[in-house]
Amino acid sequence: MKNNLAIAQLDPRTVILWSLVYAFFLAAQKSFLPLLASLFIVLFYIVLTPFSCKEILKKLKPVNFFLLFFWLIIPFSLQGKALFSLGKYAYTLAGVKFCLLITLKANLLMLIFICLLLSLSPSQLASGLQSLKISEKLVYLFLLAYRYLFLLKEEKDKLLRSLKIRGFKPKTNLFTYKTYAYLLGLILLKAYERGDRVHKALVLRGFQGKFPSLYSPKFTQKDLYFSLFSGLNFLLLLYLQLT
Amino acid sequence: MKPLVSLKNISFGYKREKPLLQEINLQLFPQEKIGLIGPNGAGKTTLAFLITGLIQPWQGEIEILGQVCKEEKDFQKIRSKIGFVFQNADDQLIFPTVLEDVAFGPLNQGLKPEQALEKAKKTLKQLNIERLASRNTFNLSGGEKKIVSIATVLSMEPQMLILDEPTVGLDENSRDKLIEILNNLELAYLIISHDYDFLARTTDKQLILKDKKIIYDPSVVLHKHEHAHPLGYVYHTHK
Repeated sequence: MKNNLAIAQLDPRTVILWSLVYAFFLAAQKSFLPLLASLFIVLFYIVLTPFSCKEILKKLKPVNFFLLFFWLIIPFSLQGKALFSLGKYAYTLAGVKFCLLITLKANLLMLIFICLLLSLSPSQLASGLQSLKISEKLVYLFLLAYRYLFLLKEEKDKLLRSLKIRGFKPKTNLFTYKTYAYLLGLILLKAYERGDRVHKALVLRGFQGKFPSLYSPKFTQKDLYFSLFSGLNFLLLLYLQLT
Repeated sequence: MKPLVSLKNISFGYKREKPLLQEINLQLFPQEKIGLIGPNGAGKTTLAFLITGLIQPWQGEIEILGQVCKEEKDFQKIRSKIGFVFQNADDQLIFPTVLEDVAFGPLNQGLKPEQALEKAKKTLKQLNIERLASRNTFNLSGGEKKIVSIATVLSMEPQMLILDEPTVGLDENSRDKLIEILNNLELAYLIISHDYDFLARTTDKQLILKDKKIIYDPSVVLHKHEHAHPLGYVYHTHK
């Protein structure tokens, strides 16, 4: 880790709880001032993550691409002072404001999750969730999904390649849809079989429905400082919102 | 000497009226190294699943470490004594890092996290792969995955190993490494494989599974044979 204040060194429970607090707070905002203030605070957190600015921007790309559609559609559908109009449809100021709010919120939420949750390793996150008494099944689901999504993708790539080799070109016709349906079915079937084998392997190593955790989270002084810092920030945000 | 595993008159099939294995008898003694050869679909892996109780036989008796095993409960007690290495290492490696994966078995055996970690590190050292400890399990090469999956069962300190097609997909180098590791193990093991040369170098006795039966013919001699590859005329050695 870059510095000894890094988020990865904290108790995962602290990190998960604070990311939840921020997430709920941000999601409930309807005005700009607390959001802008939050943006300022998030910048502090970025320093504590192992990611570079470039990496973070890359992670934000998909969200903003999705938001682009909001910008294209919503301002036309709200009423208010028109900025310009296409035929009889007006692009309204109220719509722009609304979109700006959504964009700011979405990016902030992503930033908080990137800074806090993504800084933890999957096993840290899992052990944190486990000790917060989240349902064991959900925790396994998370751990196994992390491990096996990659393999599912590989399976899909393999099948797609085998289609391509045999000259398959996707078109909008029944044949294409049928082929994709078979492909999906095959992936599901293979995933099921793999699941069966993985379960066998787990049972052979003494698995009895519980994943014992190798690292038990500990609340240390670092967590206290981090919580104090986050708490102060949060109070400031609340104050801004209430006045 | 008492056998580690003893199968008596085991019959099994996945479909009714279509037995895959019929009245199989098999014994594995401590320190014994057995190879099991047979055509595709002959039921080699099925036999291994029967030994570990993942499936139940139609008839017959399975005795492991002197205990007759009938139900899932009986098998749960002895499973950690049998290390099963799957054909596809990806089915076996589950956790984000190698060290966690190797520590999983010992944790299930009831060890404390520190002890399990200690044991995992020891196992990695034994197999000379300490450098992989913090690597992601899915970023390893095929050969590394195979050796790590062996580590994940060795850390449970089993009394025997079952390896299902361990050489599939391994290159010459990884294969040699695997042979070296197996030859250095002081454990009984059963290797399922098609690779005659590999079996000749790692096992003392080879059984053939054919037509629902196990055949042992000591007169069958596994041998290495001539082979061709580019640059064959350049001086080189095969181990």
